Formats: sequence, C-alpha cells, structure tokens
Amino acid sequence: MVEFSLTPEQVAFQEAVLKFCRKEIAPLAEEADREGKFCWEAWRKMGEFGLLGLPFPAEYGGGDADVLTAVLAGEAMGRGGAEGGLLLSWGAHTYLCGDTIYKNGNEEQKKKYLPKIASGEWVGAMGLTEPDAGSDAASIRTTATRKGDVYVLNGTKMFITNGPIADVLCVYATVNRELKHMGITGFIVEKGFPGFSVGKKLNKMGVRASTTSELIFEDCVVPKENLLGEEGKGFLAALGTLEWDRSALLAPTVGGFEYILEQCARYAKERKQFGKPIAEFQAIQHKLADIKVFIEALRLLIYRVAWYKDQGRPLNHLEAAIAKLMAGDWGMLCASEAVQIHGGYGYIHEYPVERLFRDTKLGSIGGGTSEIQKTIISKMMRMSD
Amino acid sequence: MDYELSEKEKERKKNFQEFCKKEIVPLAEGLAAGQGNASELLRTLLKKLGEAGHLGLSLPVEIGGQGEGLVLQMAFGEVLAKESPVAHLAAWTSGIHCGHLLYRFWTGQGKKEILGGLLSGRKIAALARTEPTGGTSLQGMTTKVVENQGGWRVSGRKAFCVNGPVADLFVVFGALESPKEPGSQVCALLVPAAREGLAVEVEEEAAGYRGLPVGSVLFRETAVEAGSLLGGAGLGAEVLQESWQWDALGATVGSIGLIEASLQAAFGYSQERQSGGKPLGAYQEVTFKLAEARAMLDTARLLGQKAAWMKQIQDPEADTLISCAKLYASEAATKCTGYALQILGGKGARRGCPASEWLLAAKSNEIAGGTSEAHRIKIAKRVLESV
Repeated sequence: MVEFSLTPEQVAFQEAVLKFCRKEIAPLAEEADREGKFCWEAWRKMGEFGLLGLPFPAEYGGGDADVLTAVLAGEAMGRGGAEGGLLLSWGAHTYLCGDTIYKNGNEEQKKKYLPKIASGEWVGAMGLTEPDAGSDAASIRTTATRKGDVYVLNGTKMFITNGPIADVLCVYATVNRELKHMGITGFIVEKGFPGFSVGKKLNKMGVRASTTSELIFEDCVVPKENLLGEEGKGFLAALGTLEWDRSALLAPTVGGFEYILEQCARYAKERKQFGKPIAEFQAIQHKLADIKVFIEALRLLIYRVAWYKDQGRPLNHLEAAIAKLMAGDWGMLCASEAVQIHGGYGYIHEYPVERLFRDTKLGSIGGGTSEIQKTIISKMMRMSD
Repeated sequence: MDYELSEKEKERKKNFQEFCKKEIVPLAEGLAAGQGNASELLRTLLKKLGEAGHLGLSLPVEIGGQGEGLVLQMAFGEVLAKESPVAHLAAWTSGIHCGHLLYRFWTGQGKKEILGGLLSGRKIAALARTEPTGGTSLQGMTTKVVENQGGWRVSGRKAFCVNGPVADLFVVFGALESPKEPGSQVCALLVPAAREGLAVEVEEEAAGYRGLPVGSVLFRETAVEAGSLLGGAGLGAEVLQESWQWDALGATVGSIGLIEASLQAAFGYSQERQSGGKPLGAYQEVTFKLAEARAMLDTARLLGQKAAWMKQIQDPEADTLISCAKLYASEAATKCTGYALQILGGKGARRGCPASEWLLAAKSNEIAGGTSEAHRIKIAKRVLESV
C-alpha cells in the first residue's frame, strides 16, 4: 500500500547529518569552490562521521546502511550547505568505487579495500568514460590483455572524478573489442601500479571542490587478483553502478535546492524595491513556488528508486533515468530562476546561488546525459509495451 | 515507505479499468454525441460508477462507502479520467468532492440517506461556488446568506456548476450577512434542487468536456432549514478549504488520466506510422517527446499520491502538497497532450478528435480547481512563512 513515511530512526539520522553538515562542512564550502581544491578537512570529518562507508557491512568498517539511508544522507548534506563537488567526490568514492567493489569483488578484495575506503584513508574513483566514449559506454577502447599472472591495460580515461587524488579505482577495459559490451571487464587499480598515471587536473565550471582528471594506462600492470568479478561481466557491473549515479547520488541535488530555496525566500523578504520586499511581487512568488514543486517532485522520484533498490530489484533503469532527467533539465530551469530572484547579486560569487547554478549544469551531463536518459526511457517504454 | 499499491489494490484498479472501458465509455460517448437525454445518460453512468464502488471508495463502510485509502481513490480517478474526462469530472464532483464534504461537515438530518444517495449514484450533487464575478478570490462573494425564521435564505448567482443542470442537490457557498464573529462570513449550505427560488440555466459546454452538463444557478431568496449549514456556524472557511482540496485533487487525477490517454495514443501511433521508410518511433524528435511525457506522468502521479496520502494522515503540509500536485499535473498535461497532438499530426488535429479534446481538457485543468497562478501564490506563501 502506497505510503511515504520515514521511520523515527531515519528522521533522526537525517537530522544528525544535517546538523553535522551545517556546523562542520558548510563553512568550508565557499573557499573550496573558489580555489577549486579538494577539502581534506571536510573529507576527514565525513569519514569520522561514518558517511564514507555507509553501504558496507560493519565488518568492513561500514555503516550497514540501505539505499534510502544513503539518499537521506545525501539530501541532508546538500541541505546543510555542503559544496556540490565534495558531495560528488563522496558519491564517486563511496558508491561508484566502494559499493562496486562490495557488490562485485571477492572476499579478499573487500577486506583489503573497503575498510580504507570507509574511513576515508584511501580515496576511491571509477574509470569508465573515455575521450571518445561517453554516452556510448559500450564502445570503450581501453584494452586489457592477460599475460601470465597479470593483465596489461592500455588506454585513456576522461573526466574522472577524484582522479588526481584517488588511491584505488574501479576501471573498465575490454578484453576483446569485437565482443563489444560483452568484452568489458572491471579491474581494481591502485595508484602505485606501474604504468598508471594521472593527467593534469581539469578546471571545471562547477562542482569545483571535486578534482577531475584524465587517467593514463601505458602497459599498466594489474595483478590478476585485481580482476573485479569475471571477464566480460564489467558492463553489467558498470550499469549497476551508474544506477547510483542516476538515483541516490542525485539526492544532494534535492538538498542543495532546499538550501537555496531558503536563501531565495530570505533574500526576497529582505530585498526591497519600489518600497516593498520583492517577496510581495507575484513574479517572485511564482519562481519560489516553481522551485518548491521541483524539490517535492525530485525527492519522490529519487526515493522511489531507493525504495525499489532496497526491495532487492537490482536494475531500475526506467525510474532512475526519469529521476536523472528531471534533476538535470528541470533543475537547470530552477537554478536559473533562483539566480533571477537574486538579480545582480545572484551573478557574483558572494552568494551560494551562483555556485548552485554552475553545479546544477553537471546534472544534465554527468552520469549519462539528458539525451541518454530520454533514450533509455523510450527504450524501456517499448520493452514494456 | 511503500511505492506500490498492494496486490489487492492493483487487482481492483485493473478490474475497474476493464469496467470503465466496457460500461462507462459507451455512455460517455453517447453524452458527447448528444444522443438521448443527457440527464438520464449521466444518471445511468453515475449509478454504474456507484455500483463499481468508485463514488464511495474512500468513505467509511457504515455510510455506504468502501473504506479504502485516498491513494486508491486517486488511482480509480486516474483510470476513469483516462477513459472519459467527462465521467471523471461528473463523478468526482458529485460522489467524491460533495460526498466527502457532506461526510465531514453535514450535521443536519438524514446524513445516511443523503450520502447513500450520492455514493450509489442515485442522486447527483453539484457544487455552486464560483460566481460570475469571482472565482479565484472568494473574498468578495456576492451570494448572500441571511437568517430567516430559524433557517437560512440564499440569494445570488453561481456560474460554471459542473452537474448543475442535472443535480438533485447543491453545495452552495455564500457570505453570511451578519456573521457571529468578524471574518467568518464564508459559509456553505446544502440546498435541494427542487427548492422554490432556485433556477438552473444550461451553460455553453466546457472546452474539452463534450457532453458534461454545466450550468449557472440563480438563487432568489431560496429558503433552507437551519441544519443545512455545513459544519454549523463559523466553520465555513474550513469547508471552503476542504472544497478547494477536493477540487485540486480531482484536477490532479484528471490531468494524470489525460497524460496517460494521450501518451498511449501517441506511442501507439509512433509504432505504426511510417515516415521516410521508418516508423515515427525511430526518430529522436518523436521518442524524446514520448520519454518526456512518460517522465512527467510518473512525476505527476507521485505528487498526486503523496498529496493524497498526506491528506489522509492529516499532515499539516498536505495543503501545500495538494497545490504542488495540482499545479504540476495540470501544466504537465497541457505539455503532454500538446506533444501527443504533434506526434499524431493531421490525425489528431481535427475538431472533435480525442487528441484535440485532451489538449483542451488539460488546459481547462490549469484553470479549474484553482488556477495555476492561485496555487503558485499559495505555495510561495508557505515557502516564505517557513524561513
């Protein structure tokens, strides 16, 4: 029976994260964005709080949390005023890398990597996208060749979140390009592996506190023990991972807009023009309402994916694509309105709304473009017809 | 948390869908085509919906309802609206909107009989709220309610009354001439259609709702008993808010039904119709529209369900969520029915063709049940209060 309640424990957890974030994380946001620097101080605090290993069982140092809990945490961090890049780093680390190892790795791999990821001692990343393979992920060109007890990787990965600071990476390469997606295989790569190097840090429009770079594999030697799952099963693993990108990792967007809507409302009440607060003008009220509707809707779309994942439904392509599409395209319209409410002040770095505007644009690009989400949705519609 | 109807609810929804296709659609088509007596057709239609349990679905069993939750009520509304927007609006207004108002606020005689009549579809109720001179803002309601020998006398004119020309009962909103407390002028009364001094004029058909009886009602010192005042003295504002909520929820499910109907038609056509040697569905400019419509359908439905659930548990934020759902669903429906018409091309853009009617009906939903503008202002007020 349809109902939307949270348990008292879930509410308490979300409030605790919100409080923590407001006090410890939010004050570090502006500088991290301005400098485009990863914020180690915030990272360590998030590790201590237990946010970096949320989904793993306690035996690996994790928080044993379900998907909905991860969503609640992401939402609370966004609402608490955390910088978007830090939250992107969190997602890439905990879910795109950590959870992928947890779901696809063997016992030894889990024991070796997860505790270090959960504490934040090691930073995780995921390498799938390439200079010539973004939306069309099945056509990646990075190759993996088995030579005795090792695999040799050659190729380049592009736009890798946490690339410059990662200690451990889930990397996808093909063992046989002719097999297309059936040849794609996952590997766990450590930053010290011979032949692995990182390109220069990319200077991004938004989410600036997450560092991003190319990954370069030149006869990179990966021990066969670091094969993630089985040969040829990497594409499925990547799809499972991308679903995080298209669902729970959108939760900070809900929280971020809640944070900004509060700012917009306060600003509209304080700012006076023509002798009255601009909050009294219908045009401003309409914008506030539109942002509110977006927040309520996006929250439902994201919780729905989390709920299905927690029910044990492994792939939720349709629901995840809808959430991602809305977060990206509708989010950008709302971010623009939020800036508009702030007028000239919204256009300068002093106000967080300008940061939100830049951060939000990633929503329609990263983790599968809006166009790819529409393609997925229409494919799923045909399949269910 | 649970994002799915129970198995039993899914089964009921499916059965209701089949019932609507088989039993309701032919009657609604008859209404739209102006065949026979409109009043009789609508009565037959509502009786069938009463028998199928739709009208009393979310009211208690003791008074002739089914005791189900509001989310299922929304699901039934959506199913009916998809098959016939006219049947949905007539049924929602009479059984569900007026039914719930009377269940909550009627303190006069014969509650069980009145509700029994509405929920079984034997009696038809209409809502007389909007006036020729004011809809969105009811501050200056001109319909006057005056105390009269222990009862009340109503005088004024109401417009856009859905079911008006065929109604047995009217829930009438007016302003008390001398309220007990200042600011409590708004009141609501139940007035039988057969009362002296009550006259209904048939109005032009509402755009997108062919065959739906709509009328204006003139009250000339129409007298009713003391107990006819809903909720007793001083509760008028509460009745009015409740009435807005049912209107908005009805427009929400109505819009969702329109999105579903138009999406299904456009999707089907995109698989059949060939262009440049390929089906339309092979072009992104078509499939992306369908994908957007599907995303809007899910979003509207989720907002509607959440709003209904919050109303059910009497969450203090329910009113805001109802506005969010209504605003989103109605505007999404206009977009989606527009997309459908574009995809159906020459086949859809014809007078009287379902796709054209859907677009008009969707646009009407942005106006009825509180305009988009009114809901935006209401939501914004809440946002501003919260900081």
